Amino acid sequence: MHLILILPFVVAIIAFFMPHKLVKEYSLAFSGAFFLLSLYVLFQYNPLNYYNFTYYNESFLAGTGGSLHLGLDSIGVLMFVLTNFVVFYVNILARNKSYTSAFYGCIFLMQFALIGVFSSLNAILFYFFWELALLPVYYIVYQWGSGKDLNKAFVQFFVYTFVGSLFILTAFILFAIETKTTSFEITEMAKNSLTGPTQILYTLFLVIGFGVKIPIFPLHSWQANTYRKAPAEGTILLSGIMLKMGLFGLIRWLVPFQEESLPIIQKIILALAIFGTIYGASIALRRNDMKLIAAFSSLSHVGLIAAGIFSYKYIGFQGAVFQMLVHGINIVGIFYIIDIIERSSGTRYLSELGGIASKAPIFSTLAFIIILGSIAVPLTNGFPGEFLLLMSVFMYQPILGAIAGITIILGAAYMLRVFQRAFMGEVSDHVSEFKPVSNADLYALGFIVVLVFLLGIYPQYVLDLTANGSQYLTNLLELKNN
Amino acid sequence: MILAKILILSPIIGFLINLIGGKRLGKVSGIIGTAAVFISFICALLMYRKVLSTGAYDVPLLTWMHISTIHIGFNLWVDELSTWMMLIITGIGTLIHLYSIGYMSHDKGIGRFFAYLNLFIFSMLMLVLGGNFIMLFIGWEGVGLCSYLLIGFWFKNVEYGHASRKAFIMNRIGDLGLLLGIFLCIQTFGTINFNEINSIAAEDLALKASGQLGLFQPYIYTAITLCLFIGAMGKSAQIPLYTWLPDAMAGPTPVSALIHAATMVTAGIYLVVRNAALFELAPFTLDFILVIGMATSILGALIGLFQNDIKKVLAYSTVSQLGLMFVALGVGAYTSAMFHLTTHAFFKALLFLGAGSVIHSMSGEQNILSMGGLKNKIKLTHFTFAIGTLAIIGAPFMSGFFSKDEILEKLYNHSPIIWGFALTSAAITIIYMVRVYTLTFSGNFRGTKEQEDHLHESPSSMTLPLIILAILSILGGVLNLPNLIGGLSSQKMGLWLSKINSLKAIPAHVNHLSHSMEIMLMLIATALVIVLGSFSYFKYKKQRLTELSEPRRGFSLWGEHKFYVDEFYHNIFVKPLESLGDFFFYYIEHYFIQPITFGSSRIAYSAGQLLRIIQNGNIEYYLVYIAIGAVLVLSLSMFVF
Amino acid sequence: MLTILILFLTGLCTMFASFLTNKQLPKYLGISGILIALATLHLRLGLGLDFPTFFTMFPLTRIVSVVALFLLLVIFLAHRKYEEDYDWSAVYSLMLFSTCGVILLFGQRNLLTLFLGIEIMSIPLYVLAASKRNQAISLEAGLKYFILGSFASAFLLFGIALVYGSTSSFVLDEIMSIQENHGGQLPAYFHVGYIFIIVSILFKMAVAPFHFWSPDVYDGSPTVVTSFMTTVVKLGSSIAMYFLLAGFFKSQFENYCKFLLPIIAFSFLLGAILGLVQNNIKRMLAYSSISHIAFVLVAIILSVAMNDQGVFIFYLMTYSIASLLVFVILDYLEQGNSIFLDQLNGLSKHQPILALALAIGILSMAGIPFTGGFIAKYRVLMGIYQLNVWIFAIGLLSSAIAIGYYLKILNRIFFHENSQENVAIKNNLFVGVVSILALVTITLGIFPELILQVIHSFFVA
Repeated sequence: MHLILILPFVVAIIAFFMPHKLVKEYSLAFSGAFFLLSLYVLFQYNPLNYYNFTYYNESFLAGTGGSLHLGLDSIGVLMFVLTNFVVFYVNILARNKSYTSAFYGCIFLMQFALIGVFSSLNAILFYFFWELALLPVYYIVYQWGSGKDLNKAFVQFFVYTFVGSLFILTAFILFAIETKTTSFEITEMAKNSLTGPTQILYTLFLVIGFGVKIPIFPLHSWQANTYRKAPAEGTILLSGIMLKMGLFGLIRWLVPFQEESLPIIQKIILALAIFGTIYGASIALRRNDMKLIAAFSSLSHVGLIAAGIFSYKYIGFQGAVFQMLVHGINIVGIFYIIDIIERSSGTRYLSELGGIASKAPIFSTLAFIIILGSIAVPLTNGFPGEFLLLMSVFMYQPILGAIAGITIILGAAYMLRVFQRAFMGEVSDHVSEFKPVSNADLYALGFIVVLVFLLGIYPQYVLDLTANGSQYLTNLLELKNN
Repeated sequence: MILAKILILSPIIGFLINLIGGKRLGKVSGIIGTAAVFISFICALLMYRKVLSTGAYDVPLLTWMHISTIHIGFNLWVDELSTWMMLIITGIGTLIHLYSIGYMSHDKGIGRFFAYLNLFIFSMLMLVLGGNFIMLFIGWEGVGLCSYLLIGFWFKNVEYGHASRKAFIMNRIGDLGLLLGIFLCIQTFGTINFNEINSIAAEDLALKASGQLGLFQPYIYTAITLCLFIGAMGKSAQIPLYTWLPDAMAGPTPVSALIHAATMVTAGIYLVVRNAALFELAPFTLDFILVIGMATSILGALIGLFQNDIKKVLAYSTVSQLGLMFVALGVGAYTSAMFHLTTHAFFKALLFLGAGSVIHSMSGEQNILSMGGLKNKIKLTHFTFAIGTLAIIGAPFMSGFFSKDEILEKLYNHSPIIWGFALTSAAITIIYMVRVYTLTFSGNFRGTKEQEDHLHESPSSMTLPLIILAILSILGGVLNLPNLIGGLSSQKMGLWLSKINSLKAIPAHVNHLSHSMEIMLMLIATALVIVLGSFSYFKYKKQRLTELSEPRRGFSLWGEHKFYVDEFYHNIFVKPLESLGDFFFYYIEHYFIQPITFGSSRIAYSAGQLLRIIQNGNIEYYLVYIAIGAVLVLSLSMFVF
Repeated sequence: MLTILILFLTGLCTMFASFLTNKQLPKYLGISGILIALATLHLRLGLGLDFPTFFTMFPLTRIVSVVALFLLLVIFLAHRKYEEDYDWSAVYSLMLFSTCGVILLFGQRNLLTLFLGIEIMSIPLYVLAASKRNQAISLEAGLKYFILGSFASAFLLFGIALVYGSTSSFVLDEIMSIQENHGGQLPAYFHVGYIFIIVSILFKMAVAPFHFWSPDVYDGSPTVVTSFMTTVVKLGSSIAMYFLLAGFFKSQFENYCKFLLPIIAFSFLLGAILGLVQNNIKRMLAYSSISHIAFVLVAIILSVAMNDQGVFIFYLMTYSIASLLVFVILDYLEQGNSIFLDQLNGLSKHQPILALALAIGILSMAGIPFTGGFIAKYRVLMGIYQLNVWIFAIGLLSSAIAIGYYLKILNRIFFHENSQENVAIKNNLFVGVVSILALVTITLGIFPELILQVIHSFFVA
């Protein structure tokens, strides 16, 4: 396990000191290799025992209760694969641009940190990697970002996320002290849990801390600003995998430690999440900047996932995990598409686009399928997750479920609007000299399309994988609530 | 088993070939597409025979997902109902594919067109064959998607794009209802398999019939069925979700014939029949359906009365006919509804294809005001169209006559008032259909000169389907003859369908109408046809273009503008939603969300500016401050000791 | 004791070495002196010169003096060349003298030692602050520091007098035992005196509200001196404070907290908030050091409470190393005597290694994981939570606000186009030292125990 963790780090260090000419191929090759490796790990994974590939070493972060305690549970392994997938795609996308080797170094550094986040079984270690994962992406986003008030957005993003992290740290400290736990090992922490007001505090802090990253409704102010200004790669990293960190954090560090369920808190958070779902969708209805639409659409999707988690149901967890994976895949596809459009037509504003379908039919077809995936048409990967999530919310509270359901209508509305404005209609001036899409890009999108159908038609593979993880959580909750 | 798989797979294979082949195939794509559907038709026939001999059977394909206890699989349930629908879909589907070869021959995107059509057939088969709600839902959304693709087939035109999006989104509203219904089913019955649900419902029916209180409260059933019916509304274009259907006429005419007349829009009826047992347990829902159906039927007919676009008229008549079918469902006459569905599929497809042929020959003209006198120019089309018209207005011994009459009979049996309403809608139907016919074919030509020169009969690939459909529309009634005519061989179809689980559960409605009464009703209907038909025929025969196209006033003006329902929706739902989004974006984001971060930072900063004053660099001040500090510390410690 | 002696002698030598022509000689002398001192520490030579009631080599003393000497060494090695007329030999010698005072403080057992240490430590500083004779701001700094410093010394003396008057003893252990056994009979002014002593040390540590000298002095004095102040001197005064509180007055612990905690809270906020509005980096860091020293104070209180010096030694070490890292680099980048934000613009473009090192230093100050600062802060916070939740919250708040100005610096380094011409770094030694410091910072962040263990095994066990 620790090898899987260390490898990207080494690669990153090498990448930093590489000449700019070689680094592109080098990193592409390695990220591809990592992706394959991760698939291998996925197939090696044995769902029967809870943590696989565990590794322990206490000298790391000694004296703080931290230790190098790694291991992948079934949810973690999915995220691990997703990480490698996203990084791989970022590298593919970066092919078309000229970046310094620092860029690639950052990407691998981030991959390292993310793997750490998804595999750390020690709270302090988790926090450690959590913060570490943020730094490279700050650098990427604002070194290669563009647009006015970049610094303003940067400061906002950094301070905001940092404060969020402080909340997480506080929550952990609170937990450790209030439960008289000396160790931060999750296995130890899971044994005893908080009660009464302290638990409410713990929950709130974690929800705020992770909520900033997810983002849950009122905490999302950094998102749109950052997405708009970040380079496509940065946006993909942020939306594809960083958001999942927050959700994963909730599943890993909040859910198992709930002593008695907190109806009020739970209701509030659910309400917020679902409001965010509608909120994001309705904002996306009328925007002109494709990136902005994508940002708010992912706000909406992620809100639904959070709602699913907080319905504290088996199907909710299953759906949430599945949807995390799927949203990761689809949003990568969508930003990839946006980037292709921006590269070949020079704009990403709907008002200036139109008629791409007549210029690049194959590209349009692929794009359409990916869009279908994101609006959850059956037999595409978007459907099973959203089905489960909506169902679990519905089971928790029918009215909320019905409200949350509105998102499938709005989702269709804004996504199809995008497709219609950009791809259909008469060819616009910008599109008239639409550069042909390279085969490599087409293959890349094609692979995503394959995933879209694969996961849509046979989701059971993933669901079987995560089943025992979700079951574990559910049992834990039932055990503690009764 | 294998038959079912071929049946499902052959269209999807056609779809793939056409999609990948694309332009390269050219004309061949049409043949491939048609062949694919024809194969399915053959399979359907064979399966029909199998079901006839051995009864219903289940075809499990693969597991989709397990949810804790609930197992959802792709399995096809082949029974009388699904076979029936299959036959309609593939049969009429084949004909329309055949027709499209000729119709779309000039279009560049013909490969894409057939690909979409095949995909549609596939989804529709999924819908009717699905053994559980998820399968149904997959097909349900699939057909919605295909209709989206086909309506917006000529994607260069922005208007069409809007129409297609409207269709998809309105369908989505319905789908949400259906989805919620499914959730309720899972929550209530713990299963989404039709047979299991039906058996539970049957049990409950039996219990309730025997006077005990059943397994579940009535309101649960009401909730479930209402949710399901919302889905049906969306697909089958009932009030309030009907406005997408007329706009859907933007698509190529064969599409209108196949999707928006014969098959997809009838999915709602199928859904209700499939779960008839549930609906039987929810009387309120049935009444609701009755009301909605009736309203839709009349409204559709009224609007149809004032339209000048030939396809729009047909679209509204479809809406109204669907309404009629729902009325039938509302009184529990499930088989009658299915019967009308079938005949309607025949003659409405015929009418649309006829209209297509007319448009084809008029080189794209759709406005009936600038047609007229075509009966000598395009004889075959005229002849078939006439038959279609007769069928739909229910002229004696046409298919439409029997199906409509059966429904009316059932309605009268339920209550004469409803019968009266239904009759009104039928009457209006007669008027506007004859109007369309007359304005199109009789009188003298009102179009431009070059249109007149260009007039020509359509190729045989287009006329052949017309002829077949014409025959079907004439003889369709044989399927389900009323007792007093058919004698022994009557009610074939009713008996056939009543074998399915959902209908088996339902106690047969006693028919206390005397034969004389039945004959009476038939006569009334017939008289209506003759009187009104001839009236509107002679009214419109002689009219000049000037008097036709003089501006309308009052009620009829309203009718021409579809009673402003579209505008109403746009102002009530669309606009507010969009402005809500803008409000969120421009106000909430700006004045509430952003300040959370920037505001707080500003506070800290200004605090800093304030504190800065004391650090003024003058040493005497510093000394004073330090002294004060010391004093403070001391005084604090004084409280301590 | 021997160490002090060696340093003192080296100081003398370097001072007189200025008469010789060789400009480099004083530097080498100083360095060799420090190395010898370290060697003696390693070999534990004492010459039997021990005065148990005045000065003792606790393990703690050994550790911190190693750290202090290391820091001093770095300062000697990696400073910029100033103008020709800048008298280095004097500066070296004064630093060495003041270090003597510092080490004296490390081992003090006795109020007299305390006074001696403070004075020996401070008086050279006054001169050092003013060592840029041709710059008014430097002179002003020196004068301010001197006047305020003497004010504080007066406090100290007064306090000592009162304590002696009440207990008739200078030895801390005795004072403690007297207080423990019959604190009841002690007159009230005993505590007044003791508090006066504490206040004067607080002044030396520059804790708010006794911090007023620090921004001006930091800004005014040459950067090399500033770096010396923020590191070695801070060590000295903090340890002095530790000795004053630790071990003694267990019974009075809560009472002393009662007036220390408000002070701490105040410094937390003041340091964070005032830092935000500065453009002058040295002033900014002065303020940041105020909130850091507040952390140190908390750490001291914790160490007293849970009888474990680890926490605050670790904090001191990480903080002083980080700030040394930062100041040494600033010393190189500055033009004139002070450095403003926009002078950092685009540093990463032309001097990536420096930029990275500086960033690490800043991040460590900000307390981002994988740097020592995180571990230190985390430990302290963990402690305060048990001590007092409100202070905990304020501490968090302050570090959240402080991020604002650390970020300003990072922002300048990485995301601004550089405005002025590039200053190419020739001095490899300098780069080497800087990168060593950076590595140390990171090592502290990843294997926190490691370095202390090493020191312990070499110089103590």
